[in-house]
Amino acid sequence: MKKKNQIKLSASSVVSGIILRLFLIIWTVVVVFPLLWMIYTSVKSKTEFIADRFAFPKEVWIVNYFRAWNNSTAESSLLQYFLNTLIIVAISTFLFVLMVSATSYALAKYRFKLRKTMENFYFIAMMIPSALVLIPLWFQMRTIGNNLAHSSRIFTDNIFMVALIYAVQALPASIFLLVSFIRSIHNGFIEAAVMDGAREWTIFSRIILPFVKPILIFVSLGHIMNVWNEYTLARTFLESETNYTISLGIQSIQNAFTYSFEYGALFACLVLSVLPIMILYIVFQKQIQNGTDASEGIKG
Amino acid sequence: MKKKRNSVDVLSMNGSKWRFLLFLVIPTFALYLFFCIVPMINSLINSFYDWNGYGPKTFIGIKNYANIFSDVEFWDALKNDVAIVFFKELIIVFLAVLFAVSLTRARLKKGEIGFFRFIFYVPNILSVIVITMVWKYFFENFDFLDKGWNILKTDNGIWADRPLALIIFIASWCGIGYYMIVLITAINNIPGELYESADLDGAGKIRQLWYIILPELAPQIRFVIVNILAGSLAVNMNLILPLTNGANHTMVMGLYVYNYGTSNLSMVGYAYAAALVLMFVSFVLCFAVNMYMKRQEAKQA
Repeated sequence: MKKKNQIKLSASSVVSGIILRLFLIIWTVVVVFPLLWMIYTSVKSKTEFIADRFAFPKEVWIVNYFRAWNNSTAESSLLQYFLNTLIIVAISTFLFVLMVSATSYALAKYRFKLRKTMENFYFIAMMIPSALVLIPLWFQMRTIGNNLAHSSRIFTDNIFMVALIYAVQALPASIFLLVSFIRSIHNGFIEAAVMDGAREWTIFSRIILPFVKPILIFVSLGHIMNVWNEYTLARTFLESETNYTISLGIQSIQNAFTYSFEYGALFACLVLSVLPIMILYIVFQKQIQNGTDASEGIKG
Repeated sequence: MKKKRNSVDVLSMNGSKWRFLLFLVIPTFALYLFFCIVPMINSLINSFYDWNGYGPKTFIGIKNYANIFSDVEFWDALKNDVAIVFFKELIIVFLAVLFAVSLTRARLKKGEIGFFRFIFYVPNILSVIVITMVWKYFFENFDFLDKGWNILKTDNGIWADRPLALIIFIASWCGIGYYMIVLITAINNIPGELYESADLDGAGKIRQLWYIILPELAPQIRFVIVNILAGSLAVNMNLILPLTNGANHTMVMGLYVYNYGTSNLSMVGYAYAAALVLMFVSFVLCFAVNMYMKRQEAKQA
């Protein structure tokens, strides 16, 4: 099929091929150069940076990474930020996967009163931008903390609460995707399991989960990335430095490093924060991009 | 729905299913209501009150809303949002279509396609902090790009004099990859026979692009445009909060709400009212654009 679509080589198609490649290469440079700059600046010494911000480093200044790692501000350290982020990502992803698959299964295959209402609630609220829920939610959690525990911070400055909120707020879009997938599972499979005396949990974990595994991997990869990178909600909720995520931590280190002109160390922090997500992207590039394909196929 | 089968009806409820609902599905729904719906309702109610977030509330009717519309900064923010979204749409749609078509219909090698697909998606996986910090310090002092031309040179540095242009650039930079992938899928789904018959008719690549690819792509392009529009209010705020925090006339609506809600604690009711106005504007815009484009598509078909 591909062969037939190709037209014969002509002068104009050679020229247009060159022009298109030119565009693609220019954009590659625009995308890659700032990131390359970030990487080579992270191993550049302070004096070299002051002399010329964009020049390649003449000597590799690995010490920046030690500066970044050991820069413990009064209360916290880069390691702590990493651990906090990891805990939030792990808890949030686990809860997210459990909640999204269970809810989608029930919405797709159960027949109970209020099912339609529930579905509509999830779908309508998909249009509410989470940025607008943020402030009212913050006040709500503070008020509850005040009333229950006489501390306005207990439910906001709390990485477990933040993880839970990430999981819950990510539900609608993924439920939308999964419900239509689960609906397409033939009832015969479930019927056979029921005949064998399987309980709901068995059906859910042995039939539904394996079936939706590819799509579930995609949505949880997306979730991991979003949570790892999230900034605004974390900035609003997490107040004490010992609870900071990596994004917040780097921002709080920023001033100290730029004040002393140690951009190298600051960029070393950035490189370290990108590293896990970059590895994830390199390993799962297919799933991440094919996953985009799948979600698009349904939304479009 | 299927009618009852002869053996068991798998869709009807039983004790095991009710337990599944009770322990997993209903708690999830309750949490969802609690974290997403209740705050929304709360903000709707409190937007009619003069409230500092803690003390007593006084009902003041629509006064919060009236104050918003008479605030110069609000109109500034609205104007900035519209400008950012408009240029972002132009840049992203143009480049995403260009790249998507190049990577599918131009005769690139397989390795090249994989390479560009990999690279162009990279900005989408970076965190907002990485993106904003790298670009912030990048543009702080980038005379090396500008030696002799002085096109990009401004009196107080580009961040002070052209902040909006930079924000538009950065926002587009991190959006293109995702939409390119969306469009690539759509182009790959166009049936090959369409091209074959066009080839037989002797239609060139450009004509194929204009008469086959773009019309077939119309629903996906509409999806891209509406998606950018709907996401923009949040995205603009997430970018600008760490970048300039609204300084140098870069206030946007999301940030306006955020600042009144968090730092200026005496005006929470006001912040909620602003948030609802923002949501309303966003809904109306998305709806109008969607309807308009759908009608255009129907006309073409």
